[in-house]
Amino acid sequence: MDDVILEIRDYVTGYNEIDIIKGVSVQIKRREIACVIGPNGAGKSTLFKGIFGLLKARNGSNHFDGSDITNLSPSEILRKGLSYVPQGRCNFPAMNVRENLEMGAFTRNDDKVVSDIAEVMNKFPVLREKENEMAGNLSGGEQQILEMGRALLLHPKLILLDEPSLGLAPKVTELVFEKINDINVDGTTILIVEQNAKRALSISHHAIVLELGKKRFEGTGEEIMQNEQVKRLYLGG
Amino acid sequence: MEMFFQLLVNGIAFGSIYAMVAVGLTIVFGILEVVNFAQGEFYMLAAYVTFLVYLTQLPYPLAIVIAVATMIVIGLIVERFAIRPLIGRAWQLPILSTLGISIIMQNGAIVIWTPNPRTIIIDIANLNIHIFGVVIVFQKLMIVFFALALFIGLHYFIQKTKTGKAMRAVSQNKEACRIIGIDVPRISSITFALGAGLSGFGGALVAPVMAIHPVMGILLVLKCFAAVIMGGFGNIKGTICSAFILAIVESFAVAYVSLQYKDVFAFLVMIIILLFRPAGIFGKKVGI
Ligand SMILES: Nc1ncnc2c1ncn2[C@@H]1O[C@H](COP(=O)(O)OP(=O)(O)OP(=O)(O)O)[C@@H](O)[C@H]1O
Ligand SMILES: [Mg+2]
Repeated sequence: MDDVILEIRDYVTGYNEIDIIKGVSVQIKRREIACVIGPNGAGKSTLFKGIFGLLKARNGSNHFDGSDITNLSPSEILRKGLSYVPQGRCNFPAMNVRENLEMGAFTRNDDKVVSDIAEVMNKFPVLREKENEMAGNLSGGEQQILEMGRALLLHPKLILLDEPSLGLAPKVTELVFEKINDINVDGTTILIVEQNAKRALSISHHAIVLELGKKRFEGTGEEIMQNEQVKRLYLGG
Repeated sequence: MEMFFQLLVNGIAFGSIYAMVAVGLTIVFGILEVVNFAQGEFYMLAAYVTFLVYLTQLPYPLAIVIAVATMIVIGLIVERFAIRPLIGRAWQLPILSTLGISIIMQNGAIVIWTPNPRTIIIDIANLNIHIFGVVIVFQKLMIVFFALALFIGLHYFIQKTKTGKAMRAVSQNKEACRIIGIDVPRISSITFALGAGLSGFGGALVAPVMAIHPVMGILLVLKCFAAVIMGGFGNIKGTICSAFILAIVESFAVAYVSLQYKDVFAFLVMIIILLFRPAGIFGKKVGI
């Protein structure tokens, strides 16, 4: 059990009166890349918001790294080592790249922040190039990389990435996937939601297919990619 | 020519006061998304606190410090109990709440201190200084000096300090703040207190040169709203420039056009500017 970093059990959540996630159970192992795929409106983003504490659990539980995070607030969950990069751009458009990264370390009070920012910039050289550029002036791919870099500043054990390749050109998507792989190789567990299902499955150790708020299929990335039903329904034949 | 400079100096002095109060409004709007109708009352209360402290024979500079500190504390209390519980509910609620507080403060002041104007006599404040034939009251020089120092300090605070950067972050994207752990309520509280303190500083500075009375904040805050709108809601630089423009125009218009219509000019200028630049003098900007 110790190698399970995130355990979601019979989890139910939603908005207003409507349940969107209707009893999902998933286990994510330490240091793996796991992906959630599924059609638009399946509840993938809702699941992530729920895990990160932005929505209240209506049933079931979430355990992360040995502790119950079911009803913790996002800032408490963040402190436990779980970071979240939401779908769509979510940065500070009128602050420069360096300042955006500094904000990523806002909750830290140690003196390693500057060297950690330098390290993130080494990992993502484009951020060093554009250090003084306003985030709002970066391209979509650069902003995505900025947001992933910003999440790394809290040294998370697990990152939730919601559609990192949304709206990116194929070449940029490739770059973003490479960076995701790099982050994982450095020891961070990654749970990712992707439209670009084939590409995501190709780097995933573990995959879950979500539909209408329920888990439809589960397996290794390879298994899901080969599954005839999944192919037909979600991978376009 | 001397008249010209005299009016200009007057305009700049009042512009400094308008700017202080208006910057407080603009940062609160930019960060909490709340229109603070009680901003003029922080100005009024600070003038009274200055008056009361001065009565006890304590030196005027100390009275300023006490007045500003008192407004910061009142600002923290107002934010905590009258604004924070309403955030995230209907947008009208915090506005009604600050309006209510403004009315309570005005009427409270009438009950406690009567509607009769009070004055503080400080010899040095009323000293006339002659510079190239222009006569300037010493306190007006002080007002301009402190305002400039304050704006430079504020600029540094917002651009360079961790809290200041977090204020910009909150004004630009609250969702992003939440996912990286920036405590939005705490930043809001600091911002509101800062806004109250700025207004209080204005009130303490005018106390020796203006009549102190319970409704002294009403017209002022309306003109400051004009400056905030003209500056492009939430834009600090735009708000400061607008406040100076309004006050300078007002100063000249009173001398050359009409004294009776003194309070109309600021709004006229705002309307004219907005006709040509609907997003404010500096145009659209994201956050503070
Ligand atoms: N803030 C909200 N309030 C109410 N309903 C919402 C909200 N956000 C999403 N929903 C609804 O929840 C359902 C699932 O949405 P969700 O965003 O989780 O889907 P998704 O799988 O991430 O889809 P996509 O691939 O389009 O991002 C949808 O029916 C959507 O309309
Ligand atoms: Mg989604």
